[in-house]
Amino acid sequence: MHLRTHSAVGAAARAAFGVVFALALGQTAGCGSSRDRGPVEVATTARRSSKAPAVDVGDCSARPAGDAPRPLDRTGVGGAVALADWGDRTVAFLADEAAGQLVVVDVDAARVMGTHALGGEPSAVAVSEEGRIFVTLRDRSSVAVVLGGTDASAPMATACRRRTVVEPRGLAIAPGSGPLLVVGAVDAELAVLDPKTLVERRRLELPREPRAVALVDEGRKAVVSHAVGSVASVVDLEGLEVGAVPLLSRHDHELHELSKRIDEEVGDEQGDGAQAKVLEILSEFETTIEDESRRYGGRRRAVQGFAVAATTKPTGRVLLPQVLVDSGGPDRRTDGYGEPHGVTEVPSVAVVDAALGVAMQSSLRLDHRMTYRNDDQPERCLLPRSAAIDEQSGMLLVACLGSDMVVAYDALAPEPARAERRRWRVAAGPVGVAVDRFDRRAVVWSKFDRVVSVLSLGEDLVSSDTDPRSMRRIEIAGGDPRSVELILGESLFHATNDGRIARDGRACASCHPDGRDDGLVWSTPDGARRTPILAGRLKGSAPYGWDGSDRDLDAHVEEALRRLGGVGGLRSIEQRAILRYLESLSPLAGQPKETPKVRRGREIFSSKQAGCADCHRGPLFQDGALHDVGSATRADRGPRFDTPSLRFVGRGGPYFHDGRYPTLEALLADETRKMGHTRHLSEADREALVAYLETL
Amino acid sequence: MTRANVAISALVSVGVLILAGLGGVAHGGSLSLDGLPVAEVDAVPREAPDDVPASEHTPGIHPALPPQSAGGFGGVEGSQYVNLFPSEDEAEEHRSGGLGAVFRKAMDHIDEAAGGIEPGPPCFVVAHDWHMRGDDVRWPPSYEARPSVHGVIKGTPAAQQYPNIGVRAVRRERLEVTKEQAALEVIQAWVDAGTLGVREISRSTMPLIEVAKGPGDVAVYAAKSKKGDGVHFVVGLPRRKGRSLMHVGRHVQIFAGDTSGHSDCGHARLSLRARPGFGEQALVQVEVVVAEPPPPGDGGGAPTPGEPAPIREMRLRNLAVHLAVSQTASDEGIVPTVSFGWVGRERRQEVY
Repeated sequence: MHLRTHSAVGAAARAAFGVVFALALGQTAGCGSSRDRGPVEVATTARRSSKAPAVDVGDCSARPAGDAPRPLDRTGVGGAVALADWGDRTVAFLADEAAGQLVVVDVDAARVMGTHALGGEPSAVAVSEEGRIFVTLRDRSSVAVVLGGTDASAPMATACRRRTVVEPRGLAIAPGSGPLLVVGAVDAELAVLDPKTLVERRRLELPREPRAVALVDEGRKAVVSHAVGSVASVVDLEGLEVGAVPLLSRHDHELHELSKRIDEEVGDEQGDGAQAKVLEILSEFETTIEDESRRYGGRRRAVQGFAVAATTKPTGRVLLPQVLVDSGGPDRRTDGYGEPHGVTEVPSVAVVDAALGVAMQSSLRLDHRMTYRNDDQPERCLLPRSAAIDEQSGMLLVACLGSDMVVAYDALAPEPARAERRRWRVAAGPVGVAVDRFDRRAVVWSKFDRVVSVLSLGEDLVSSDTDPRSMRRIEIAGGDPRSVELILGESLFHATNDGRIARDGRACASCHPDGRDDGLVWSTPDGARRTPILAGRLKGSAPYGWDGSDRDLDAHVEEALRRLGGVGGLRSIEQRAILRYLESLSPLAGQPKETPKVRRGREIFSSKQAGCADCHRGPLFQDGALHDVGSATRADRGPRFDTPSLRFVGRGGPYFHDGRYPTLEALLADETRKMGHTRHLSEADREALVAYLETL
Repeated sequence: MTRANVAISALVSVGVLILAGLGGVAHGGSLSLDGLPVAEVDAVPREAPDDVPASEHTPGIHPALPPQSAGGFGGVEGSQYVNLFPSEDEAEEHRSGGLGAVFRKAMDHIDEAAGGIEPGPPCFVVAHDWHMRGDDVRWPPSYEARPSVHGVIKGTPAAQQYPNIGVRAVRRERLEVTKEQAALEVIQAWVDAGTLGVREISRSTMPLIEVAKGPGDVAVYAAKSKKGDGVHFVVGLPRRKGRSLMHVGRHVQIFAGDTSGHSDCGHARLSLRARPGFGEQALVQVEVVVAEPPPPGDGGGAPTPGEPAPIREMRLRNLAVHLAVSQTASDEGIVPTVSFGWVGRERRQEVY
């Protein structure tokens, strides 16, 4: 395996795509598990009231007492739905995040068998070969082991719960005695756990906003998707190296030249030598693409990497549904967000060659037919949230939130997104899909409608998408304790292809995945603007907009919708619901860190001499006022900008209103900058200031 | 289904893969290379002769000018458009009566047939200028039943104005399918559209095997390259008889990597190659009949005296045929796949 290693580390590297980390943070403390206590019953009521800090409870080595579920998935990738054989039934385990419970559905009988309260919001579930059910609890920064009773109909119990990375999202189980992997979204970490005890063996730093993880190469490597940043991470679990594969769009002429170069330099050679040469050429090509993109832009960036699936027949391919975005030129004013006449978002499926640690280049070719609006084009999958492969038919199934459909692509094609095979309309809010390879069906969990759709994967292409014979619905009654307003808000926030919101089908969540930011700089009517984080930063942060032109959020949302080119028509109750939903989102609060360096950084930040806290003050680190810090460019309409909140500022760049600084270090190192008085700082003090900012 | 059925299901799934591997009919997925015959597709020939005398002929490729040629491009004296025909009979008809006669003959044939599917005519592929310069060695993915080739007559103003228009490489392919086997018959020749001379370069037969069949009787045949680094796919495009059906399946678009093309004849061939970390993919989009119209007189189709005949409709939809070859470092060899998918919505068309 080849992994390219770069030197940048920390937040600097996190902010810039294509940067590779090689940080093994070493083994952390054990979980302090108390053996022989047996399964521990936890939280039997809905978890919403429970916000207590995560604690380690129970015995993680406990085994199922009776007939245990056997996983139907051979790749070990966890998701919002996992399938298993249990006794003589096929069951689906649903990660019911809203209700804080695991729902067990008898797929054959089309009925709910039971629920199990988890004491937290489950984000992913996976079943191990020995029948233990692993669940990540997003809001508790924990992973739990759930065991079945003596048979499928008996109540389940949580055997243990262990603290892990902050906001665990992705989950994967290696075959045999391989590790359990958990991906933390907030601090961008991958935890390698002992599957028997859940003791953490290693923790690796990843590029920002990781979401899903798949194990490949018999558990020796992992591939991680990222919601932003245009990368996939390839992790060598033996060498503990993390390589970043750039997933930016490729141009036709580049691929043509690349193919020609390989022909010329490798020719008909075969074997390891030829492979090494090909790898060298491909790696060099990817590095060039990163460099060029950083300097000149000009290619689409990849976002919405929430899902990952690995092929099993043949092995070695990892598929990552994503969206390629054209956010417009940095020096332009446009009529909205991005180029007004084009289509800003194009669905894509990146293929990563896990052994080589590079992308299959053609998978990132931009489908130009999708870059212009055409009524004949099918509805686009702009919020891919889950993926699974039906190995028998060779289909990659992608659950598309917002458009409420599952799209099937040719999983073995080098450009899967250009090889759509089928699509099914499913219930609202699909966030999980899993394949039952024996019965040729897929099970889809739609969280808004609280419905499980069972799709027939038969070969009858002639049947139409809405043919009732190709789909069955199982209602999951009750359960979501949130208000109707919040549920409506979440649904609207993720609504793609809603003409009221955007002309080209974008959703609010397209630029603000999970209410956060896409890490992009958009051309707007006011010049280039970096997408702000919304979650945890809305309340009390008026005025809104980089130029502070909107005094309240309602006005700001209306302006945003106008710029998106939507025809309008959202009722006030709907607009309010979106805002209530955004206010309900959990902030990106990472693991608290209090080190001497952070303390020194706080001193500098608060000092009169540096002057940071003059403007960045209060709980949100902002003063609600406009300032001219000499940052205006040719495209900006005025010299003054609203002081941005510094909350979560360390979670990812780029920085300044036009994203001119890729990292906080670059921002502080700029001698021409007029903001604050930090130019005199020593390198050590600058590092300390960055360390402090990363804790905000 | 319970686990009692698992064994049966697994057997069925194995069966599908074996079928696909041996060239049986499947609705898509990966193919095994083992069962595919070996064949090569010649690159676009280079080093074209300066001219081909009018006395040189090649059976199967017959150039013809209409009786009163309106002249060539730009009204420049000595330039002309020449059509190529698969038989001397058709070429002669074109010379004497223009394309209209050929078309009328085709229509007569269609009316006689009144329904059913017939195999497509031979397809021609004409190399572009950049192929002749050697910038691209692959034949372009554009297949025409009666292509038009432009040429210049030596010694005329056109020859001076367009010195780069010379002898062109042309490839004729015909897909022959019987119950037992399939093959692509290929003729390659130099065509001089100034003299109307044709010089044969090669004549060969490419063995094929059917690997997949989609809706609308669209079939995919394949052979593998000698080196094992590529697959030649041939998509068979059935032509439908009957005046109102004749256009169905004729609007075929082809997208292959960074190039695009079309086919208005019997098939489209795409030769795709792969190596570790690399793959190639093509899409052939063809309109197919999803539901046949009811026969006249069946189910209310018969006209009642004094009343207009009931409307008869068929349902059509665009079918995408996805062809691909790729390889990762983990793969022992290349991985070819064929799959089908619908494009857009169904549409209804009245049948007269």
